[in-house]
Amino acid sequence: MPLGEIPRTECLWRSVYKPDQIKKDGTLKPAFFRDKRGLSCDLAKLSTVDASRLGHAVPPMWPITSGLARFTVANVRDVGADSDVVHEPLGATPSSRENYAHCQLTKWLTTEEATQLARVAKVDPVPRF
Amino acid sequence: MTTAQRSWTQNAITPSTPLQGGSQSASASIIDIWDRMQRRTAPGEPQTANASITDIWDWQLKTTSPHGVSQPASASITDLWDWIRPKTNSGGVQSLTVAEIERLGQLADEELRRYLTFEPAWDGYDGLTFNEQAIDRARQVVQLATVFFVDVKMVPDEITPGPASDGSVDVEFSACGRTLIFTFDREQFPARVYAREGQSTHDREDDLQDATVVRWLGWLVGSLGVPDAVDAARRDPAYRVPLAIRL
Repeated sequence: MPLGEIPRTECLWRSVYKPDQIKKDGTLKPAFFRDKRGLSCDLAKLSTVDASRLGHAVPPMWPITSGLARFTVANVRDVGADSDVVHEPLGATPSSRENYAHCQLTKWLTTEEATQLARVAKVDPVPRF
Repeated sequence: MTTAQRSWTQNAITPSTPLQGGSQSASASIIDIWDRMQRRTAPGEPQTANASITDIWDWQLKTTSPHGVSQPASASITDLWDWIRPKTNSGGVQSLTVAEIERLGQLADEELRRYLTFEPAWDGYDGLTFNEQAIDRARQVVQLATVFFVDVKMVPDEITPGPASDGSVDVEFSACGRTLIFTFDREQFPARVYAREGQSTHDREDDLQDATVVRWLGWLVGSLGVPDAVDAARRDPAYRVPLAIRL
């Protein structure tokens, strides 16, 4: 069952899976946050660093070298008036093997909005490509 | 243009043909760009196959005059290029500068080609694969920009492609405290342009023909104003037909 409105202080995680998603200086590229279908991320409170970084499947599907981008609900809301994130669980219950922590951005971020989000997001753990 | 540079861009740039009404020796790279524009003309689009470079450029100028910067009202492409060039860097082209620009372009090109090898769900979620046409167009813009930066003798701070989960691709340029990002969608047309200088930003759809790309690059290096927005009619690919008739 989806949660209601997520507080601004909650943390969001999204896996950094490809070296091409980050710049040479270690910051995220704006394209990392752009998806017309609604960008996927995990609500940190309902996940673990390894689950979000390596995937929720058992055994993990994603490489051990993956990193994690960290940002907050406030970051998402602050980039644009109609920018928000909602809880969209992929599993029925918190114990499900699918991703109950899954969230989705409600709008397609413009390049300006994606750039702002890329500026404030932190990459930790840093991917080891 | 150096031998090394020509060899790298050879897959997109064919040997020169005489330039009508322009100074060939002074603007070899312009001729190369024009050759490429002609080569990319699809069958049934006679506007570039038959028209002179001056015709096309004059048409571009009439339809997209830049804001805030006075420039020759009916300049040829050579004139416009010369307009950009002296305002950026008066020093000679250092071989290191050329090598650095070419290295940036080459790395960006390699990265763009790598995107075509991405599998579905490449981002660890449900990332879409990349459209070959969009990647090709992004690569052409990188190659055009590489020639441009060599010509204006400026090493950009970055030429950075970026893959998005929805299958769109960015090409980001930074120079002179300005940022320019072209976004090519899976549907290919039109592209988006994002330009930022300090707090001032522009974000809009654009046809991104080669001449428009050069205008945006001119803005990036501080030689031209922001190009006018392209009206809806010109963003429609079908608009090429009446353009061909006009020429």
